[in-house]
Amino acid sequence: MQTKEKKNLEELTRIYTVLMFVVIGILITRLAWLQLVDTEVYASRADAQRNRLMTITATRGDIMTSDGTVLVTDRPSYQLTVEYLSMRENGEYNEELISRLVALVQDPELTVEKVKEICDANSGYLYKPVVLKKNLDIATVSRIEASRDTLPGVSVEAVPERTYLHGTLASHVLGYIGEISQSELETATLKAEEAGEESIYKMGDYIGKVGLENYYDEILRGTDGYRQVEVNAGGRPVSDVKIIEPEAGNSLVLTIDADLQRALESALDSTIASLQSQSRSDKAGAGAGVLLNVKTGEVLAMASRPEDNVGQQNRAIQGRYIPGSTFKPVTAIAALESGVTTDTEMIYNPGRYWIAPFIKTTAPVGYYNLYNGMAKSDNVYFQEMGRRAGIDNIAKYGEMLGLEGPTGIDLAYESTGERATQGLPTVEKRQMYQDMAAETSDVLWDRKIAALEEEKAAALAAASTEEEKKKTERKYNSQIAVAKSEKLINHKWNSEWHAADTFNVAIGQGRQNYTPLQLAVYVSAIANGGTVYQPYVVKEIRNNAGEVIETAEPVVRQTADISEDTLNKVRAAMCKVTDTGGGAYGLFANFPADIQVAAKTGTAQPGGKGYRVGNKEYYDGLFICFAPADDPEIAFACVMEYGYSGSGSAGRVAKAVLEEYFGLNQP
Amino acid sequence: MQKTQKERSCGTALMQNFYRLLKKMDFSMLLTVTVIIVLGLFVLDSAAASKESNYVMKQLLFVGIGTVAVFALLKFDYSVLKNYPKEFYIASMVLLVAVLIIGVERGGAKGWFAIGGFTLQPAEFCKILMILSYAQFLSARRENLQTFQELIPCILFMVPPVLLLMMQPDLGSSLVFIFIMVGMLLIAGANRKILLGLFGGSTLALIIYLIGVWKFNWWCPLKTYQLNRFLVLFDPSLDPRGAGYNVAQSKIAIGNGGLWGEGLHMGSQSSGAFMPEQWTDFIFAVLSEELGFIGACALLLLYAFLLFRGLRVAMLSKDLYGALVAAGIVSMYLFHILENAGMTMGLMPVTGIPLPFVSYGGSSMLTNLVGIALLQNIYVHRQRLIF
Repeated sequence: MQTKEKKNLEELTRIYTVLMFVVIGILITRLAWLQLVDTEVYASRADAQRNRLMTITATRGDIMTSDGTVLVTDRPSYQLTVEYLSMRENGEYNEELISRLVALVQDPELTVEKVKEICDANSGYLYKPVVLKKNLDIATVSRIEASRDTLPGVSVEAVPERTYLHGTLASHVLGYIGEISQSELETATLKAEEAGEESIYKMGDYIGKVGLENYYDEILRGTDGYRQVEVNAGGRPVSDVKIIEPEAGNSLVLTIDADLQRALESALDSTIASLQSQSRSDKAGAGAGVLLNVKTGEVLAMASRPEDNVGQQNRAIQGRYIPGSTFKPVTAIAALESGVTTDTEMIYNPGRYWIAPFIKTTAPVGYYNLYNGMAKSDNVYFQEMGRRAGIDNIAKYGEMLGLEGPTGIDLAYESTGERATQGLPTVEKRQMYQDMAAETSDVLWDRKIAALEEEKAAALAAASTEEEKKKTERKYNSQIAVAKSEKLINHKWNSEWHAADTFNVAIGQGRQNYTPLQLAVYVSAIANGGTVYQPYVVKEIRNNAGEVIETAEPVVRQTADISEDTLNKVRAAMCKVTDTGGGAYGLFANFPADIQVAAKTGTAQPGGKGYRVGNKEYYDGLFICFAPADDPEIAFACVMEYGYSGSGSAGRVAKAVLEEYFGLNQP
Repeated sequence: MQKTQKERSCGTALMQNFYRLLKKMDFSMLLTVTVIIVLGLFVLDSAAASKESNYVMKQLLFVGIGTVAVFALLKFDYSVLKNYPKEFYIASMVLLVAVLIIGVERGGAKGWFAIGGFTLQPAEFCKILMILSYAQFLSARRENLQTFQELIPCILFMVPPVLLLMMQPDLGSSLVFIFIMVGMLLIAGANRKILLGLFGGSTLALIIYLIGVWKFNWWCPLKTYQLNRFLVLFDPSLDPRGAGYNVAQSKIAIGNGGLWGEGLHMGSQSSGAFMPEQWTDFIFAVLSEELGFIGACALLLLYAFLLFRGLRVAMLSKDLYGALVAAGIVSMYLFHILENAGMTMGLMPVTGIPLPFVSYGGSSMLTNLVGIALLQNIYVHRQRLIF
């Protein structure tokens, strides 16, 4: 090589060497930036995607009846979950992977499209496992496990599954669980914050929605455990970092007896079936019954119909019904206690009451006292008693017997009865109702007056001559004046309580309504000497080792200030109902003499339009009773919507339940 | 049977000759390569821990073959290679065309021959063949590299292999050929202004074009996933399950390594297999996570030293041909390092080219060792031997 060329080469290689060092320098600079400056950021990202906190769902407690029959339990089951990100590739769903998975599951409902749909719905939480299918059978589990290495992000998780061992038995009392909703989560968080605690609920939790599952959710649910795991890129756990074992929830022992509950439910079903076959009650299908221990307030059985959907309301605590004649014992107590009558005073019944609105009675014309008045359910007798005692006394004794306000039962969503149109017509309720009615009436009349004014203006504009104008003005002015005075009259009418309102209330009609549970509580109070117990469904709470950790004691809410003498007379009168000539005569004919049933039937027609179809009139049937009359143990209340008569519908249910209780149905 | 005296003395002379050659080798370069390879084997052992077959043993096999080649080729003066530029060029073309016809596909590119239990990547060997051919081509035109017209054939020379590689498609390797061309043209003494204008300009144009595609949806022949490998340079959040994911994961791995690293086999990103092909394309990220800045920086400095010695070989070469071959080999190494390490750090587009002496792969290891053999050969023959 020539010297010049040699020199030139030296210079060029030197240039190249510098360029080479620049390139390596850039790489080292970038490396230093990532590893020395930004290392914290990347280290925490590495931690975040490697460490996954997985919930181990705690086993929820059992619910069993007082006789030890387990109604609800948690069974281990398997569910198929996938990670959203693992199902995606290059911004699209990985069709090949999904179709392989679908082929393994062999569920005609779980198609590739369905998987994508479920994944789409859960794409908000990239690392939260998406549940594709629950309750996998063992064969499917082993098929999936066998090919787990070729299914990134797919896992089979063992989770407890709520299982109802006796079908729909007591379903309305038990309630059900479901995934926590956004609003439930917010409410729970708010509540916990107010108490200065951390909410025990989190996204994706299952929570009791209604019934016992809801009311006792915190007791039943236990404490979830956690698994801190290290996962690989496929989202599959490679090692456990830390495990906090879950703590199983506590179990509930109910006051409900399985046999009584079954008897009540089958009686409801068979009665409904037979009512439906009769023309006068062919709309039957709904109703509820409650059996209480009068000495404690324990709920021995509680059922509601229809039951085809567990989500439907529990009518025993949520349905409000006009009591009809089942209210008459309250009127009787009010009259006796306020000293306006004696049990033997005879009142003449000429067929209808002699004061407007002259409400009819179905009892034959003749003389009535407390006993035959109750037995025949004479409307004249009870209207007179109501008039004498006055609405305030009726409301006072009704309230004493527990008919105002919720009973305080340990079940979710009991009707509180606090609205103007609900519960007893107490002074406050009446005021509320009257204000409401007066306002509604005013609005109605104001609208009419405004319409007239408009009409007048239009007519005046249309009038051509002065004469015509004057005539029109006169005509409308008088019409408006009439409307204004009618408004005042109506306002006054609606703002007042009328004698007729008292008559209606006295015979169990008019503005009042109660839940079947309230009726049962009120009958219990009559039976037990005036003690209003707070009804309850849960007798014991047991921890997961089976030890009793809490026992429920009867709670006396209030004691009615009613003399034993009065109660004895009313009880005796109620016994007449099931006696010869009584409204429920013959219903308990097969009962032995020492088990006498005191009862009262009732029929009522709520204002709803379903109750008048053409010429046909429908009625709700009601029945209340307690037994044995001489030393009461149990009280029962039942309402049968569209049942037509009290003894013919709800009464038959009562008979079946009492037979079961007293062991009279044995062959 | 007894050997004659003449035969014996002749044999002794040859051996003496070989020892003299051995003594003239660049031992610092050999030591550097050895350290890089050993370091690479440790990292490979960790990166491929999840794989069933033993990658380290397979890699060692190719290291062995390559090492034999380094010493065996020492005896022959590289100058004989000057005589076959056409043959090398034609051989390259045949290999690259053949692989398009009978090759097998891996990772979406049709770039491998399947022979027995092994797969060979002809693109790797073609790099050496093309360097040898191009060196003679440029050496013959050393006086005529100053005008634009004179440079045109020099550029056209590289167009066929680049196009054939793009057809696989193997974008990474085609970029390697372009970079080799630029490096060799520089050493050949081509007009630097034209070189800078041409390649600096076209790089700039490419960047502007990509921004246009990205922001204004300009026309682009690439498929979306290919395009995304470039576009993630501008927006790492793009394509979070494809190219963006890979780069994001490798950046997390490197960043997670910190100063000292997590230790071999201890990298959470690496052992969790968050990066694809982490024993080849993303092995630099594994090394950086497990050995930290200390380890990764040491590797880059070892490379720098290796390249520095390589350029020294070019400078000391007895002729321009040797200097150009050395420059071509250095360029090949340098671009592989820049592209591979740069990609894992989000500086370069995502392409699948290996990190020299570290990534798993027989073809690549053999090619790189043959490169070392050539550098040593040029170095030991830097002066005419007199004996």
